[in-house]
Amino acid sequence: MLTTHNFEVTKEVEFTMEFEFTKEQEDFRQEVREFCQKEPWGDFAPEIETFFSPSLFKKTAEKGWLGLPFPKEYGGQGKDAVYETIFLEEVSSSGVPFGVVPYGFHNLFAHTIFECGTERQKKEYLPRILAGEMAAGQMFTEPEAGSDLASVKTTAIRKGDYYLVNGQKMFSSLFDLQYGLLMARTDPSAPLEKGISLFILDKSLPGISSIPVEVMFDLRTTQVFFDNVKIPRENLIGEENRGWDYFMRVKPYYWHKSRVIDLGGQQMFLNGLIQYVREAEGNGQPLSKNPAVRQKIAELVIDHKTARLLVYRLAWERSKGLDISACSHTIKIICDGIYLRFVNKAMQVLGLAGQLGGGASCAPLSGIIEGLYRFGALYQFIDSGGTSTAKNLVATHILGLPEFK
Amino acid sequence: MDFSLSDEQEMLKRSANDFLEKESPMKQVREMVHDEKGYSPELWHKMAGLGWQGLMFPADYGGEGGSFLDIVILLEEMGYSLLPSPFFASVILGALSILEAGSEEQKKKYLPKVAKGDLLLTLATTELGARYEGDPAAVKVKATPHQGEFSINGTKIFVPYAHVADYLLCVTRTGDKAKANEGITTFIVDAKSPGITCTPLNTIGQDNQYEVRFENVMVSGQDILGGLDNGWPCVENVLQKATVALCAYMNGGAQRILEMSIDYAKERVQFGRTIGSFQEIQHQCADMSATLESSRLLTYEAAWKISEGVRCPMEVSAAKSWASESYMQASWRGMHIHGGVGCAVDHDMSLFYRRAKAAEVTLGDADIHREMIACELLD
Repeated sequence: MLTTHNFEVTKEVEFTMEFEFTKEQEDFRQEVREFCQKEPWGDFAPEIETFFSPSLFKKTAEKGWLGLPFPKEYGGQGKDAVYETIFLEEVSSSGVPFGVVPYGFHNLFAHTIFECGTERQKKEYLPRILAGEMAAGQMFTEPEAGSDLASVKTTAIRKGDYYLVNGQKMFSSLFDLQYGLLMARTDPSAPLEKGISLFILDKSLPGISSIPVEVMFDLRTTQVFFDNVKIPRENLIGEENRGWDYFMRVKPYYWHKSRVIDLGGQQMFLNGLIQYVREAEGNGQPLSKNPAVRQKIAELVIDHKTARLLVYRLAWERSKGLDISACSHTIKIICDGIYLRFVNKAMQVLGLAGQLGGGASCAPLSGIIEGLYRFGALYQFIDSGGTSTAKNLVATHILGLPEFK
Repeated sequence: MDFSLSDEQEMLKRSANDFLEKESPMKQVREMVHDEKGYSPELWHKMAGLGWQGLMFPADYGGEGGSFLDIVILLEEMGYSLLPSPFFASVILGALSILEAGSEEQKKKYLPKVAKGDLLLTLATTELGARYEGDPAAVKVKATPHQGEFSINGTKIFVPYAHVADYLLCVTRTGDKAKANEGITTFIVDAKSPGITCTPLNTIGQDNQYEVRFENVMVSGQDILGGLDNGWPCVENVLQKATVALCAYMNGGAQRILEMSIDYAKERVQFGRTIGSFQEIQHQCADMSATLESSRLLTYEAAWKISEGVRCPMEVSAAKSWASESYMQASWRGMHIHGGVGCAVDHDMSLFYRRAKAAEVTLGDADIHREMIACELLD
């Protein structure tokens, strides 16, 4: 009997804290790993160039892995988020070119329909999405609505059985796909966050035009213009003017999944980097004996461990139905920093050779680090308003500090 | 996979927090800095009444049969309140060593008294020239056979609470072996033995660190802990556990700094508004919070592995490396947010600022632990 202050507690209770996977989870990891080793994923590479591979998504869906955390009645597997995290970690650490953007937005779309859509929308769209037959990129950002996303100006005004859409979007992703997840203002007179709605946009509708926007990372983004586009009323997701709440509700899933994909990638590159420093020489001795290199490799390992604990903690919170807002923000802040640090240090370890990109014959690690370094700017500075926006939210919504007025 | 504390651990956490808030308020903590003993024996016995000192000893030795994870929870609360006490010295460094390597007789002799709060232990391992407590090459204090006993000569530093300890676990060089970690023997030395001199060290943490000189201190072969020439494995194991316990202590401190800073930022008005509405201040608080949460996860993972009896040098080093930087950064950010008032001796912030630096270098800073990880991975 343990006597604590004011409490008497028996010692018979087992610990609940547990930093290991169940047998079933380990078996599942093994199954995914073996599948990844057998599959000629390289065959998908040309399709990946378009950044969404229908055949890769279909193949994954056939295994039942695309809709792991969604209920069976909508075409999912009814597994908890820990399984999904294991799946994503394994595929990305095996080098499967899933891609943060295709998978992240595919799943953001799925979660938006599942969490916010009407029953009809769930029944109509989710099975197609989870079968890998339907996906949508984000169409949120505008020239004047970046980190301050709630100030979107594109309007969608209800006219009987359709919404009339006018305005423009910037940096839209996966624009090649038939559908997009559109954020637009349905009530221009309401306060910013109370007048926004989300739509399933069919890009074949008349009045939509676009021009590509080239960015320094290997992503295809697009500027899109709407000129009196008529979106059928049934394509409004959930209820009118609740779009901002919906977006805030599903954003953590995107943060979570994209960081797990990064995590798997980091594991693979870290292994490659460790092998590289063992073999490469500097000043006549292996790089692995260089104290500065040793410090950097250890920092990468610690960062990777930390990111891994964070994403599994969030997965566990999701699996228990707990409030994930605090942990998802921690992930946004910590993992953003880790990503950029990771690629920066990896570049530094590689020295001059680090600047060689894919295709250069003598590039270490097939030149992949160079591309990742360019991509590194995305999270910390740009994605979801960058880390700064997340810090604002943590301070005011979680730590209770006053808003700047 | 489960990241929650058990109901029982939640209760331990809450009750420890309540108890320390009531029994060891910050005013008393600051006063204790200049106290000759450096702790309150009365409070120490109340803690023993709650079963804290013996929390992780088996019942056979007067303990509660708790796990290492329980101790980590307690340590986090002690760090939060900056409890001035010989807990780390006596229970973590001292008693853990005896639990780890002591004979049945030694365990029965010392542990029940430690649990009751009637006996204080400490570990004397560090010597001048050691950058880190766990460097066996720095162990030069000699124990030489002399008339059927051993005679100890030399000087140890950074011996916590040596001035009030009843027994010093003195790590000595007994053999001339090729490897630095061989030929080391730990003796349980009665602190009242003739030839022992304790001198306080003026440290940044003001945390009762002592230099202990041993001059022809005689000790019996019966008082060897572990085995002759085989003392280092135990020291190494105990330092690993102590490192994780210290991480928890540091996380508690960082939590307190975060709370103090948020409270202060909400009420302090400058430039016509509360400073907590400035993004610079908000981001510092958000960073503190996110870094601390990460540190907690790393600490708990290492503590859980230790509780499960799994060797985990990588986890321990990752935790200490992160906790060191998290606590240090928190102390800087906290000081920044408090401004001038934070550096007043009467303000808690100044004490946390000192202690964060002390904790950073204790049991290896981030550089040292990163090198340990590199050794595991690259050598």
